[in-house]
Amino acid sequence: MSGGVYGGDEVGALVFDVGSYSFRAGYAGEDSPKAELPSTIGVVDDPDIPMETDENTLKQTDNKKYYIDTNMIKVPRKGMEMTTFLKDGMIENWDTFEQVMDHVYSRHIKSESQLHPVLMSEPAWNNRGKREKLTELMFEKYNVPAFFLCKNAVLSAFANGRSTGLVLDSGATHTTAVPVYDGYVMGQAIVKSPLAGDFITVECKKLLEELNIDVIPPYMISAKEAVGDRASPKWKKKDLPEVSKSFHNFMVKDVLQDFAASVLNVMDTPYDHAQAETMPTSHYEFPNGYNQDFSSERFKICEGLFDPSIIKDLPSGNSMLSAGHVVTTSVGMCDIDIRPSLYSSVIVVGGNTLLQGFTDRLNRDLGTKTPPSMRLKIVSATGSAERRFSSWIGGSILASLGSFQQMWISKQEYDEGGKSCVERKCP
Amino acid sequence: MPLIAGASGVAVLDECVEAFQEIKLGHKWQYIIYRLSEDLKKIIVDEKGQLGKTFDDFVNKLLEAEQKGQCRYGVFDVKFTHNDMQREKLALFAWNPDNAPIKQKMLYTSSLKALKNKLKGFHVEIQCNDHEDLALSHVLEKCQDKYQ
Repeated sequence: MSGGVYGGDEVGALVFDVGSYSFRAGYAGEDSPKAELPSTIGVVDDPDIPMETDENTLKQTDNKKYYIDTNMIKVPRKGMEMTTFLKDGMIENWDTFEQVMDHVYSRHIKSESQLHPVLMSEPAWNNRGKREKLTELMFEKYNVPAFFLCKNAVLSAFANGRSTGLVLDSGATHTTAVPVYDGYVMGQAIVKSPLAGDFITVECKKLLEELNIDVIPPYMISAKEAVGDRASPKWKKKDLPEVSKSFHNFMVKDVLQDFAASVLNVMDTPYDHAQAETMPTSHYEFPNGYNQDFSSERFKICEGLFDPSIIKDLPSGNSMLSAGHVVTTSVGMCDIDIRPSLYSSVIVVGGNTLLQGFTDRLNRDLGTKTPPSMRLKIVSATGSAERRFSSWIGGSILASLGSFQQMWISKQEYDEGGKSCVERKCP
Repeated sequence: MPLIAGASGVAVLDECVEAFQEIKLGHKWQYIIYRLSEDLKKIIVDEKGQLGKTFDDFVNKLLEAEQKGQCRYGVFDVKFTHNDMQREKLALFAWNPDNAPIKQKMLYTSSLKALKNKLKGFHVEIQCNDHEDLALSHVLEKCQDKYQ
C-alpha cells in the first residue's frame, strides 16, 4: 500500500447507516448504534419565529430553521413542514443532510469530526456522482481523517455469514432484492418494489377510515378518559398552533406504525376470509382512548405485501411485485449457475420484515415458486435490533478491525487523488 | 493487493499457501483447516489433516469450532466416481455456522476473498452455514455440478 494508509486506531471510527426510516450513528466496535434519529426532519421557513429555550438542536440558515431528532420533530409548531433528505434511498437534499450530520456530531457523537474515521453505508444502487459528492463533503466539510463507503446489502450479507446470498430488505419506503455474489453487488439484477412499511401504514389508514375510526395523534390530546370497547372516545383537544398538513400526517403515521407493529399479522398462507375470522383477535387502544378488537382485518391489511392483486385503488394496478416476486425476479436476472446459491441464502433484513409472520409467509411463497431441486433457505436474525440494524452492525465490526486500517481512504489519498478515489477504494 | 468491496484487510500467511500447494500438487494432506489468528489480523493454518482421515473427521473439526462459537475455512480433497471415472476435486469450504456470533461471521466472510486470492486452483467453493450444508451428499452434488 502507499504511504497514505491511515494509521491510528487510538481514536474510534464512526459508523453511519442511512435508512429511509432512520439514520443510525455510533462508534465502531459497539453492538448497536448510539443514536437512531428519524430520517424525517422539520423545517420552518420563517425567520420571525421566536427562539425557544434549550435550542442546541435548532439550526438556522437562510431563514430556515431545522428541527431534527425525535424529541424536536414531534412538537407542534406553526408552519413546520416535514421533509427528508432522501429520495429513492439516496441522499438528494444535501443542505438538509448536512444539517442532520451537524446535529449527529454535536448532539450524539459529541466529539470533533476530524478525530474519527467514518464508515458509511450506501444503497446498492447509489450512483457515482453521489458517492463522490459524499466523499468530498466528508473530507472537505467535516475534515475526517479517513473515510469508507460500503454497500448496505454487502454489510448485511456478511453480518449473516454469507459472501453470496440474496438480500431482501424491506424498510419504510421500499422493498428491494439485492443479489450479492462473492462480496459484490450484482447491480443489474436489483429489484425494487414500493410495497414496504409506508405502504402498510397507508393500508392501515384506509382501513381505519372505512371503520370510521379517527386517528388522533397524541400531540392534539390534552386529556382523555378510559372508555369501554368500541365506545366513543372522550378526550379534550389541546390548544394548538396552526400546524402544517405534513406535520399532522407525520404524527398520524407515527400512530399507524405503532398500530401496525402491535396488531398486524401476516397469514402463513394466502388470505382466506373464513380462516382469518377464526384467528385470535388483537386489542388496540388509540391515543385518544378509543379501543376495539381487530380480527380478520389484522391479517388482510398485510396481504398486499404478498398478493398485490388485492390492493384496492392502486394507481399502478396489479403490476406491483409481491415480496416473493421481488426475490424470484431478481434471482431470475442472475446467471443460472449462481441461482441455487442465492436461493439457499435469502437474507431477510429491514424493519418492515418484523411484521408478525413475514418470514414464514415468504418461506411458503418462495417454496411454491422455487424448483423442487433447489434448496431454499431463509436467513433472518431473530433479534429486532439485528434485523433493523444489520448493515450498521456489519459496518461497526468491519471498521473496528485492526486490519481494516489499510482499507480506508486516508485524508492524504484524498488530497492527492481527489474525490474519484472512492470508486477505486470502495468498489 | 487487489481492492475488494467491504473487505477486512486481513493478511494470509505464507504457510496457508504452502499447505495448499502440498495438497494440490502432492496430495500430501487429506484436508486443511484455516482460521484467523488470535489478534484477528491474519489467516493461519489451524490443522493439516493426515492422509487416511475422512470427511467425517474434517466435519467434526468444523463442528468443534462451531461449539466454540467460531467460524473456519477449509480445503478438502474430495474423491468420487462419476461415470465410472475416478475424480478428484479440491473443495474450498467457508464455514460460518448460523449460530456463530455476528463478529465471527463478519470477520470470516469479509476475509474470504483475501484467502481465495492466494489459493489458486481450487475447483469448487462451498458456502456452509448449517449442518445440512456440510452433508457429504451436498458436497458431492456441488462437485459433480461441474460435469453437467
